[in-house]
Order: sequence, then structure tokens, then C-alpha cells
Amino acid sequence: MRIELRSVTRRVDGRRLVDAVTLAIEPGQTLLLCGPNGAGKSTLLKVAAGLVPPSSGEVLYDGRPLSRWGPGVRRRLGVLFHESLLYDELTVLDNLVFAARLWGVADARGRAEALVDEVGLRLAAREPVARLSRGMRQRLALARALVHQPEVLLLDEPFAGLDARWAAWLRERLAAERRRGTGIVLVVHEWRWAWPLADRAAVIVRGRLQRLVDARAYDADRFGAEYGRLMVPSGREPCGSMAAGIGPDALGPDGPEAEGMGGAGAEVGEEIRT
Amino acid sequence: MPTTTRTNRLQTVLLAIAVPAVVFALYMSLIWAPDERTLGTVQRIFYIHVGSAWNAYLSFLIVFLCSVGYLLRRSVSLDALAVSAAEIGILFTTLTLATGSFWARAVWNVWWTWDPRLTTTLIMWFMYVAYLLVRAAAEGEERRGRLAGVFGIIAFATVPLVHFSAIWWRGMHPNIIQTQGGIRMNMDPEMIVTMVTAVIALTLMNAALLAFRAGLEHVARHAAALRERVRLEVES
Amino acid sequence: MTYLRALAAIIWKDLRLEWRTGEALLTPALLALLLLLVIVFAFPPGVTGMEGVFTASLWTALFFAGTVGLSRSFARERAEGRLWGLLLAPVDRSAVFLAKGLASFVFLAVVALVTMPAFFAVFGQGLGAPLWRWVALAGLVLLAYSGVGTLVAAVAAQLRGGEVLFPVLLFPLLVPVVLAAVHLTDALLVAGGWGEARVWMHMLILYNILFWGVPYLIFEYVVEV
Repeated sequence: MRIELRSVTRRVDGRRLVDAVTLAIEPGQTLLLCGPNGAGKSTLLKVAAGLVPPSSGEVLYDGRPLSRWGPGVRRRLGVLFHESLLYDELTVLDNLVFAARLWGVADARGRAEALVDEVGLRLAAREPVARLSRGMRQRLALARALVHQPEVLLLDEPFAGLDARWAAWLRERLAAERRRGTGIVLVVHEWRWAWPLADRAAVIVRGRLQRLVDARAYDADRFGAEYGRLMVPSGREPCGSMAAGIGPDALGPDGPEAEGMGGAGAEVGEEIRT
Repeated sequence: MPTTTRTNRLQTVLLAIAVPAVVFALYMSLIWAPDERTLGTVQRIFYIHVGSAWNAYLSFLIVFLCSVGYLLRRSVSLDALAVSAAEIGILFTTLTLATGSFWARAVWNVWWTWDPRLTTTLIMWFMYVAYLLVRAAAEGEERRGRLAGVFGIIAFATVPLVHFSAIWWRGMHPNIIQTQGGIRMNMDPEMIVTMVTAVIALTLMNAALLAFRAGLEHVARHAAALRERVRLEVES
Repeated sequence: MTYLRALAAIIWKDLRLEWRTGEALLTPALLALLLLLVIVFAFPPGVTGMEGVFTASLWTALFFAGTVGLSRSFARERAEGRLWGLLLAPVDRSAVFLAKGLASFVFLAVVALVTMPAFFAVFGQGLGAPLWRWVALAGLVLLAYSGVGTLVAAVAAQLRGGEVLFPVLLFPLLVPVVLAAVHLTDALLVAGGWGEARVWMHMLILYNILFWGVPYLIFEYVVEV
């Protein structure tokens, strides 16, 4: 399924969280979405998923406005947000069985069991989620997003909290999904090591789409340099490091949470590089 | 803002009409109207009482309509109108309860009784205070408008309840207007004229208050938006 | 079909959570029984036999105890973005309201089932009417309660200090249900008292229709992010 955003703006209390963004999520392609904390990436995903109505502009699924699709179209979406969408008091298995049933998966229990094995939570299957470590939680949240075999994946910081082994698993899994024709959006703070996965890369700053490039034909270093410049407000000395652009002005309403997740992402990035 | 001057003129005109109208209505109800046969002069409180009760209903109807309108159109003015009407509605409900209480002291010899109509009016008062609580506890203009819109619709359920409570469930509250076998009023024609005048005068006052309060709300929001802009400018 | 399956899934999830936390069953049931104790001790000896005291105590205790579980019902969904998870399900969003409401109804019914016999026993009150009438009455009252309560809980969950505010928002709306419950209970206890009470039955049914129907129109707005 192809998701198209046509000059989508999301205004909340007079602030434009997403500002006139036109973007398409193509089947069988991976879109890398970059931007500082509070740039509007999470809001953009929620608008694309139909959770948040755009203040103006249109969201089209296969060329048809979202409002004219029935609720059944949501079966084709799989999402991962900052928030895990998990119930802490329920067990790992119950969380997955619930998600599978809610999405009308035919053999809910069988599917949940298979996913528990795939994300390596077999030993913790009957533990309540509250007892899981950060990385295990993230794996479970990913399993939850994949439980109904969606055609489009909207993933916000999917690598956050994963160790090298599971990050490699996820990369492989995403590559397999892409081959199967799944459209993927990756919001990744440490974009460099998600670069090989990407077909296209976009930069969003303060809700605006600043750059959209063909990642297959574009030089990663050039992209990095451009990204660095975009993140620094004009009139200031550009800095070399990625983190330089994250000033207080870039913090949106979900600033503190986004900050925490960004930090976790950076941690993983270092782990992977070593 | 060009709308401000227009609102100001509307406010002035409404107030210029409403104040003399209320004075005139007070003259009619306190001096011109005849004494009631059994209750005597205390019955004169009835005109303000009915006028206030009618305007309480009217205000809450405005809250309801603006709430529905806001949810569908997301217009900030409708939300401003809704909160203004709710506050004015609470004011008129308070007036209704107070005048009713004075009357009850003179006629029933108690300040308050748990008569169905009195009880349900009190519930209505609590309901709209709760509406204001929802507004106060919601964070963000967008969310406040949306949740208040939802609550403004739910709260309206209590309004017909008050109205029909006296019919469904016989209490001691007097029913002046009978609907069985055609509409009939058990009142002297001069009393009817006075009652209608009081209702009209208080409705005009309601309109004037609404215009002022909604205007104030607009100014307050404008100021809040400016403050936010200044804050953002200073930060960046 | 999909709708019913999603409905069943959410109710199953809520029952499962309840099994693990006891927030909507254990706490309200204990609170109701404690309120019973407080009421019995607060009245001077000898007064407890009165019907008025019995019905009023029964329903105020149940309604107050119920708020504890109801306010948790949506507050729990706010954390970790769980409500988004529900809203992304491929079914009409009214299913979320309906499922949460029905789950709350089940909890309230169980609480009533456990605590009501205690009230009858402590007050030395006989049934006075066939059992099915009591079941039907309690069912209708609790259904109305869970409908109103779920809607208000969904609003309160989005407010600052919503769980504290919840009873204040709920009770003005609930007064008609409380009154209907008390009057109908009195009518059941007094032989032949049913004639006057018919109005209250109508009120109760009307409330059920209103508060299970209106959310179909406005629930999307309640949960919009």
C-alpha cells in the first residue's frame, strides 16, 4: 500500500508541529526520516497512521483519502512509537495474544508463540512486561508491531535499546520486509548506520520537510554535512557533531521523552560501531 | 484587530438596551403588577425567578449548540462562546436558586426543601461547575476545547431533566403553565405581561453579558498567544 | 464479526489485567464492605431496620466504591500510549468504548454480587420480591452506571488530576440513576409499590439508551490525540 501525504499541516495550540509536508511512503521502499528532537517526526507518523487528523492537507492510502476508507484499512499498518503500547501487568505472551486478537489474526496464539521465539523472549514469555529489561521491551514492542503482518511499517526509533545482536536481527528483518514489498518508514536518530537500509532519506526541521534525497545515489557524508547545517539555526557557527543542533529551541512539546529516547539511540549507535 | 471594534459596538448597543429594559421590568414586577391574592407582595419575586430560570436554560442550550459546533468545525469563537454561556448560565442558575429560596422562606417557611425541581436545578448547577472544572484541568487549548465540547454535550442531559422533573414526578414546586388540554396559564393578564417583560429584559441582559464575556475571552486568548510568541522569540 | 472479535479481545484483556491487579474488583468490593461497616456504626442502634436507611446505604456504598475501578479503566490506557494501540485496531472506534464499558459492567456486577448479600444480611432485610426482579434492577442500574462512568472516565483520563476529579464530574450526571435505584429498590421492598415507581424505570431505561448511544456519536472526539 502506498501512503501519500499532501501538504499536511498539523497545528496544535497555534504551533505547527508538522508544516506543509508532502511525502510518499512507497511499497517495497524504506524511507529514512531524520531530524532533531521535537522536529515533528513522531507527529508525522501519527498523522500518516490516521491517529491524528491533519489540520489541513490530505492523507491518501492508495490514492484514496483516508477518511473514505473504512476502519479495516488500519490492518495494513504496523506502528512502533516512543511509547511501547504494552501492558506492564500482562505477560509477554498475553500482550502479543491480545494484539493478535485485536487485529483479527486467525491463529492468534500460534502467531504470538512464533513471534516470542523470533524475538528471543521464550524464557520470559510468562513474565509480566514490567520485569523486562529495556532491550527486551523494545523487542516485544517490535513483535507487537509485526504481529498482523502489516504492509506498511511506521517505526519510531526501532533500534533504541537493542544490543548489537538484536540490531543486526532487526536490520535483516527489515530488509526481508522490504523485499516482500512492505513500505517502511524509519525514524532514526543515529541515521548513519541505518543509511544502508534506506532507499530515500528525508530531513525534517521544525515541522518542515527540508531535504528529500535518493539514498541509493547520494553520498552519506554529503547528506551528513547538509543535515548538520540544517540542524543549526542560521547565524550560528555550525558544529561537527550531530548532537550540536539539539538546542532548547528544537525541543517540542514531547521534548523530555524524545530527549531520553535520543540518548538511548546514541548509546546503541556506539555499541554497534565497536 | 478589526473585529474588536465591531464587537465593542455590539456590546455597547446591547448594554444600552438591556439596562433600561431590566429597570423597566423591575418597575413592572415590583410596582405595576397587581398583588397576588393569597401570597401577597412576596409573589413579585416570581418574575425575576422565571426570567432567570429561562435564561439559565437558554445559556446551557447555547453551551450545547456551541459544543456540537466546535467539535464539527473547530472554531475558536464557538469555544469562547461556550465557556461564556456556561459561566452566565451558572450565574442565572444561582439567581434562580436564590430567588426561589427567598420565596420558599416566605411561603413554605423553609429556605430549602428537597423538592424534585429544586434538587434537579441544584444538580444542573453542579454539572456546569463540573464543566468549568474540566476546562480548568485540561492542558492545551486544543484539548481543552475538545474535552469541553464533549462535556458540554453530556452536561446538557441534565437540562431537560430539570424541566420534566416537575411534570413526571409531582413535587410541591408550583406549575403556573399547564399544558394538559391546551396551554393555559393560571394568571392574571397583567401578571402575564409582566412575566413576559421580565423574561425579555433578562434575555437582553443575557445577550449583553454574553457579548462582553466572549469579547473578554477573545482578548484573553489573544494576549496568551502574544505572550507565547514573545516567549518563543526570546528563547530562539 | 471483526467488530465482535475486537470487542471480545479488549474485554478479555481487561479481565486478564484485572486478574493481575485486582484494581476493579478487589478494591471496590472491600471499599463497599468498609462503607457498610461505617454506615452501620454511624447510625444509632435501632435505626438500621429502616428501609430508607437500607436502600440509601446500599446504593451510595456501591456507587462510591464503583468509582475506584471506573476511574482506573481509562487512566490505565493513557500510560505507554496504550490507547493509541486500541485506536489503531482495524475496527470502528466505538468498539473501544463498548468493550471498556462492558468490562466495567462485568466488574461492577461482580462487586454487587459479592457485597449486596452482606447489606441484606447486616440490615436484616428480606428480599420482598422474586430474585429475578432484583437481578434485573441491579443489572439496569449498573449498566447505566457503567455507561455514564466509562464516558466520563475517558474524559477525566485526559485531565490534569483526572482521577481525583472523576467523582466530581461523574456524580452530578449520576444523580438520576441513584434516585431511580433508590426509588425502585423501595418499590421492590414494599408490596404493591410498583405503580409510582414506573416513572423511574422509564428514566433508567432512557439513561441507558442515552449513555450507551451518545458515545457512538462523540467517542471519536473524546479519544482524539
